Amino acid sequence: MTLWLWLGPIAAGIVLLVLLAVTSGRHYRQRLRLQRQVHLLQQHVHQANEASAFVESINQSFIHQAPTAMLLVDENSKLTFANPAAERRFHLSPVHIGLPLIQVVRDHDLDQLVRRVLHGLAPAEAIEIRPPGQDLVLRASAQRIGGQAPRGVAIVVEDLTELHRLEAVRREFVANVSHELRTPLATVKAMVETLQLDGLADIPHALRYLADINREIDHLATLVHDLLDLSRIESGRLELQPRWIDLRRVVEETVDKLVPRCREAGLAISCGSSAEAVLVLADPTRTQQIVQNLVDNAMKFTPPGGTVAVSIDAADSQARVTVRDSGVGIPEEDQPRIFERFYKVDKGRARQDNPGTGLGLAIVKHLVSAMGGEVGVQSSLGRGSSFFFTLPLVRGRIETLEPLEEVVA
Amino acid sequence: MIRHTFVDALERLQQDLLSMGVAVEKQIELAVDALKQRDVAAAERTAAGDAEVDRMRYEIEEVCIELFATQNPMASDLRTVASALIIANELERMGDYAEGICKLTVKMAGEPPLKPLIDIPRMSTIAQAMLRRCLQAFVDRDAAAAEVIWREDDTLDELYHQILRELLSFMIEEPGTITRATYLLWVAHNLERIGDRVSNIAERVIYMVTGRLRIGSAPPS
Repeated sequence: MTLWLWLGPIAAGIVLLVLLAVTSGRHYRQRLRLQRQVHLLQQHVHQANEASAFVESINQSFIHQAPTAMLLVDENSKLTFANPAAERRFHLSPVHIGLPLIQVVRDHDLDQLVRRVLHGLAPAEAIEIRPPGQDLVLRASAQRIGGQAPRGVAIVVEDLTELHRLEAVRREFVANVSHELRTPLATVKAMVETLQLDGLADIPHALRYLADINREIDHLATLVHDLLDLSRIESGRLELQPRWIDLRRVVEETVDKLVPRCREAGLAISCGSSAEAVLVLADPTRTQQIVQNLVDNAMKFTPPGGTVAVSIDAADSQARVTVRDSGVGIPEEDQPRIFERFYKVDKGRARQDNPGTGLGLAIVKHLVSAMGGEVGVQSSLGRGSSFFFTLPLVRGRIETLEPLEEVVA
Repeated sequence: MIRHTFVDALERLQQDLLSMGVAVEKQIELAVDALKQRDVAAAERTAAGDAEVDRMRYEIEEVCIELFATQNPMASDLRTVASALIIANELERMGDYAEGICKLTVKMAGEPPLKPLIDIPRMSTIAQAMLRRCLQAFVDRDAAAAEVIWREDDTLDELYHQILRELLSFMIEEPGTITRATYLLWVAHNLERIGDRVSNIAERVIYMVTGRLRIGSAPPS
C-alpha cells in the first residue's frame, strides 16, 4: 500500500520529466529556428546597410567631383554643407559651416533667393547673379528641402560666363558679317548711281568705275565663298578626302603658283625643305588652300621689299609647315585671338591693295584641326610673324603610296 | 517669445542688415559703373533697384519696433536693436545717393563727356571698401576695426576737395562746361556723403559693442 502511495508521485514525476524533456526539446528547436531567423535578418540588415552605404558613397563622390558649386543651408539660412566646387567658387572652408549664408557669400540676390524659396510659395527658383567686382555670370538655382515645414534649401551654382562670352562672339560675328557685306555693296551702289546719272558720258571714267565694280563684286563673291566654306567646316559638313601625299611637293607647287602674285606685290617668296618626301595623310586640295591662305595673310601684312619664306620639316610624328614674313608683326595680346573670324588687330594695318575677307586664318585653323593638326603663331611687333601648322606624319614605305601625280591636282 | 527665440530674432536681424548692406554696396558699384560707361539703360535699371533697398529698410524697422515692444531688450541687446534701426536708416540714405548718381548719369547722357573719370571711380572704390569692412566689423562686433574705418573718411573728403578744385577750374576757364561740371560735382558730393554715412555706421558699431556714444576726438570734417 505504501508502495502504491510512493508510486503515484514517482509516476507523476516521471510524466513531468518526460513532458519537460519533450517541451524543452521543442523550445530548443524553436530557439534554434528563431536564432536562424535572427541571423538571416541580421544578414539582410547588413546587406541593406552595405547597399545604402554604397549608394551613399556614390552620391558623395558625385557631389565631391561635380564642377558645379553645391551648397546646403538650414531653415535659418545657415550654411550646413558646401561641396569642393562651392568651396573653390566662394572661398569657403570648414570654419564657415554654421554661419549665415549672407555672411559667407556676400550676395544680396542669392540671400533673397534663399529666403523666397524658404518662405515663399514656389518651392524652387533660379536666378542669374553677377558677383560685384568680377566679370562673372552665375546661375543659382535653389530648391526647398522638407515638406510643410521647410528644413533648408539646396543651392546649385553654375558658371555661365563662358556661355555668355560665346553668345557675345556670335552677336559680334553677325554684326561683322553684315558690315563686311554691306561695305562693298554700298560702293557698288554709289558707282552704279553715278553711271546712271551722267557717268556714261565720260567713257574712260565709266570704264574705271566698271572695273572697280567688278573688283568689289569679286571681293563679295570671295567673302560669300569663304563664309560658306567656313560654315561647312565648322558644322562638320565638309567632306575631306584624305590621301597619302608628299607634303613637300604640295607646298612647293602651291608656292610656285603664288610667285607671280608675290612679285606683283613687291615681295620675294622662297620655299625650303629637305630633299626627302614628307608623307602625311591629308586632303591635297585643302592642304593647298591652307598654304595659300597663310601666304596670302603674310603678303597682306608685309610692305613691298619684304620677304615670305615657307619651310617644311618633319620631326617625331609631326610634319610642320612654317610661313615666315618680314612684315609688321602682331602684338602679343592679340596673338591668341588672331585665328578668330574677322578679328583684326587694327584696321589700318593691312596693305590697301589687298584687303582680304578676314576669314582666311579662321579657315586655316578649322581645316588643320579637321585633319588632325595644330596651328600657331610666333610674332613680335615690327619683326614679322611666323605662322605654322602641323599634320600627323605617316610612317610608311613609299611603295605603298598611290602615285603622287594622280592625287595632286 | 522666450529667450532663445529672441536670440534667433537678433541674429536674423543681423543677417537682414548684412544683406541690405551688401545690396547697397552693389548699388553704388553699379551706379558708378553706369556713369563710367555712360550707359543710360544700366543707370535706370540701377535706380529702380533702390526700391529693394527701401523695402528692406522698412522690414528691418518693423522687426526692431516689434522687438522693442515685445522683448524689452536690455543692455547690449537694447544697443543692438537701437543700432540696427539707425544703421538701416543710414544704409537706406546711401542707397538714395547711389540712385542720385544714376539720375545724374541719365541727365549727362546727352552731353559730350567733360573729362575721363578717374577720381570719381576711385572715390567709389574707397567708399565701397569702407562699407564692406564696416559690415564685417559689425558682424565681428569689432569696435577697434570700426574706429579705424571711422577715421578713414578723411581720405574721401580729400579726394572730394581735389575733384571740387579741378571742376571749378574747368568752369572758370570755359563757362560752357558749367552744367556738366556741376553734375559731376554732385556725383562726387553724393560719394562724399556715402563716406559720411559709413562713418556713422562705424560709430554705431562702436556704440553697439562698447556702449560709448562719442569717440575720443572730434569726427573728421
